Amino acid sequence: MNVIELKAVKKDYPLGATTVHALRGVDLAIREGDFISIVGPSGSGKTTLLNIIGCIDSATEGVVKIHEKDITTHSDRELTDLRLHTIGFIFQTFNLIPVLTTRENVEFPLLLMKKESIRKREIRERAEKLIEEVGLKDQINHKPYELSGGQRQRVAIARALVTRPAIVLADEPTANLDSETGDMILKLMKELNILEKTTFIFSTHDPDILKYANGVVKIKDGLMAN
Amino acid sequence: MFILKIAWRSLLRHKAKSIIIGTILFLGALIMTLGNATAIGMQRGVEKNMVESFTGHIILVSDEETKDNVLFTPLAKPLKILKDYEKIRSVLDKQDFIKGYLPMTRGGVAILGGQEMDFMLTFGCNFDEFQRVFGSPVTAVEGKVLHNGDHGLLINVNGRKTRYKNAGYWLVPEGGGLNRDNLTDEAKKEEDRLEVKSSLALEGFGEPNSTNKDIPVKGVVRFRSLNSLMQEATFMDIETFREIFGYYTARDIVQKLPPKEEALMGASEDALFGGGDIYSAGTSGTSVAELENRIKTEPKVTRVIDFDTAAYNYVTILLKPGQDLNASVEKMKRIAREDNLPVKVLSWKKATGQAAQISDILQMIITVFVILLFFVAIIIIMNTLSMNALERTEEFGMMRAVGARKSFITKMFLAETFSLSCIFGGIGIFAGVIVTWIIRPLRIGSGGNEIFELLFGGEVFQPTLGFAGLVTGIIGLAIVTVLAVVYPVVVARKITPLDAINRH
Repeated sequence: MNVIELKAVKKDYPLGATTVHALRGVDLAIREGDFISIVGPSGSGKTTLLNIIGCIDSATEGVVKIHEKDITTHSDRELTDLRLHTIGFIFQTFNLIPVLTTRENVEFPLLLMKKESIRKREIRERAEKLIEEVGLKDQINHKPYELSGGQRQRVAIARALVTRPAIVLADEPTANLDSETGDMILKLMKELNILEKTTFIFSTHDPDILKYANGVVKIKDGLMAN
Repeated sequence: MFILKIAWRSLLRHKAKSIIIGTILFLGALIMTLGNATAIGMQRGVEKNMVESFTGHIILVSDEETKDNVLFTPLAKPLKILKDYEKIRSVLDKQDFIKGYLPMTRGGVAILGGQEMDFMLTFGCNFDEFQRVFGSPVTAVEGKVLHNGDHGLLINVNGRKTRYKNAGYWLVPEGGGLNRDNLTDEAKKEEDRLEVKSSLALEGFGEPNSTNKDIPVKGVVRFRSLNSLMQEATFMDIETFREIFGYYTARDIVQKLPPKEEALMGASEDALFGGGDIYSAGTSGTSVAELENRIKTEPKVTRVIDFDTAAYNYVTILLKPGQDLNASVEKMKRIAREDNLPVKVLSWKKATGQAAQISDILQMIITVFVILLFFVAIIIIMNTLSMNALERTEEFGMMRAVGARKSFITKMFLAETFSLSCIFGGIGIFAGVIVTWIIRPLRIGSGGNEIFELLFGGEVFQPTLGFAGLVTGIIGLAIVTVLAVVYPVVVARKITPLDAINRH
């Protein structure tokens, strides 16, 4: 089953009098449990593609389906709920709520899901487990400004995983991490990928990530290269 | 709780902005509370010192009266005489919303004997009744108040000063000497050549049958308050008032003529004068001694005076506590219509004309000032909050990216702003209460300024904050907060995850 399906997706950005064609007609199908890496030079459209899949941006043209539902017609609320329940997003640099501690940041998406009656204890347990797995047990009560860039990124990764989303999108997830931590994070993701059948899509320049991927999508000038 | 936690920490994180907005809210709430206290104090003061001490809540005048401003118009035409007062009285006696009522007269009098024409506004009534109905609002500074059928004048203590300033004489009560302590500084300097009077020759102004009479000053008095504003108001016993205005007096009614004179009154001219020349040499046949004897032995006229059977200009009505003025006026109008009372029903505000208008204007100025302040506060807070929302694009955008709905952002933003409003605005209101509490015992005086008297609702500044005032303050603060936060919330809700990414 295709978890994600893109058909002739285009994305244009007006830039003054001209228009930037970020995506020029992308077709893509990603199945459940895929561990896909999107590669391409800077400005090729990797981030735009991830943003569209992650319901953060909308396509100018084309069809975007997640779990076989066309999201291009979804309302803002439906897209928000989709981001909360189905998609975990790890951003390149933009990440944490400055006023919350590591634990609270990780718990944040679960607290937004409160209506689904996840018990407070379970929220805490899930958050603590993930924090431990990303190696931040000692920083559990630290605020973001007390963490290094790499530590913040690990908190963001834990936050993206805490809701056990079906799809995790990551824009250069290991860019701010040292190789050891990056490797540890990737192993954790791979484990989740295998155990939970979570679909992972990465944009990266890091050749080390590619070895974990079971599929690579190359993109250049807004078009799929293969 | 989760939202409140984030809101509270955000406020602490953005301390400078929180303090700016908080200070504006504090000052706004403080000034609004003081404005409210002044307005309420003024309203209560006017209510107590003017309405419940002198004018009453509702005024009934003759249905032929064309103007509404019937009380404080010294040079206006005299009011029309009330028709059928006895019927009015019987209807008023039956009304359960009325605490008390009093028939009165009002007119401008010319003070004779001076080099220049001088006028005074006089009110005539049964003064014992006046004191009973209004709870003794008039006290004597010199002499005594009118009592038990006394004939004479009661001059206001400030009115006496003005009279001295304008006409050059100093009034003292009949039979009382000059009290040096009460003289003005100017009068003290001229004490040895001070013209002292204990009566005034007055003539009713504007009535064709008016006459003049030398009327003794019985007392120099103080009203409960508003002595500068009401200094021209002079009281006079009702019968003297009727005499100088040529009204039908109670004595006219009770006058019982001896039978012989009554027969003469009924006789025709021919019977009286025999149809011949009116001049005759005729002899009386009655000696002066005989006439004198007859006068002594004729039965004396019995005078049982019911003042109410004669002329009045208006009836002042005091309502029972808790009665709504406008509703009571309407009720009184309906009663007057149904019972065919020949009266026009006026609220005290209409009847006092300018005084109530100035009071209303002052209250409006306070209200407009507070609203302007609100407006400025709203603009500043709105601007600061909007900037704050834009500066937090990354934070809000990230929250939206991980699944926070717009409603979450709204709640968070509202929680922050209302927390600030509750804390700083609450402190502002509390400070307003404390300042009011400090100001009251200071008894800041009006300094004899009539406008200040109206603003204060009396002679001393007595800001008052009851429960209603506090509730008004809290509602006002809530309105400011809501109006100030609407636009920034819209700004914050519009922030998308993409805005956050692009900004980064």
